[in-house]
Amino acid sequence: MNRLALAVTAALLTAGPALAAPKTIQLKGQTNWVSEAPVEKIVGTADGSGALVVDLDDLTTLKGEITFPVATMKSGNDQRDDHLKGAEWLDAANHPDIKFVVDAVTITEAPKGDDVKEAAVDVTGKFTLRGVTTPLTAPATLKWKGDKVKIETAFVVKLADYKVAGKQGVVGSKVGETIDVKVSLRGIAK
Amino acid sequence: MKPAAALCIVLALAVLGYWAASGMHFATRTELPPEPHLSCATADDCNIGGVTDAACTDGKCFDAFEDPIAGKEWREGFELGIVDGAGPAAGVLLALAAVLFFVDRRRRRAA
Repeated sequence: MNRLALAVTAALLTAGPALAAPKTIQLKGQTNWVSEAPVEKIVGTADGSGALVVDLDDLTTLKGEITFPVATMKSGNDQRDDHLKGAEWLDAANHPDIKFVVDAVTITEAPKGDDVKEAAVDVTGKFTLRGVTTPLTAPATLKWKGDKVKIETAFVVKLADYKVAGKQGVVGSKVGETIDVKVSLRGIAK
Repeated sequence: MKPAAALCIVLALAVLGYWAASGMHFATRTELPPEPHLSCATADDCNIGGVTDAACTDGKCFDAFEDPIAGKEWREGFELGIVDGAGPAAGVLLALAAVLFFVDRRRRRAA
């Protein structure tokens, strides 16, 4: 009996990493977005927050959701910001949040480092803008040090894919057909 | 009349010159984007947007990974745009100059 208990204990100890429980990371940070069009380049920001669940010993377990409230979007021009949130553009009244739901992760560069660990991954999920949801895969960098975690990603949003048309003739001249988005979020794994 | 019209033209050119010199922006910005690398006096200045353990080194913020921390707040500032600032202002001034020239010409003819 003692031998059996010893064997079970030893098996559990050696299987430690495999049994490590996924942790929840409440993330907060900022999103920078850029619209480049022939007439005008617009630079803006938005808040970003969300929760990811991940076992840092197995990044492929990463899942969660990141939200960007449309109300927090700013471009330094109040009139333009009002238009941006209006019905012709992002329609914040009916679609207050932009969301990225992470379904799967592919590791493109295995974790490296001792004190600070860093890995490159491709994050796949569903991106929702103005009520339209499409699949999205974005490269991301994940860094962690103890329980502190940082995730950075960049992707391109094609406005036509989300039925963001704006005023006729504006997209493609004053507003880019695509928007470059960079997200940087930090949090503590608990 | 003529000196006033000339003054309007000079003012219009000054507005357009300021617009050109300040970067020829399309739309006016009344705030400027957050600092790409946040300045600080103490580490507390750096603990924003999910950062809880920042360091303030040489007046700049770094996170636990020693990466620069970008600012979150838009900064006070002003960039004059052509479509909603310099253009309308210069247009009004040039229109006023044209009216003043026209009135001056009519007065001279009447006299």
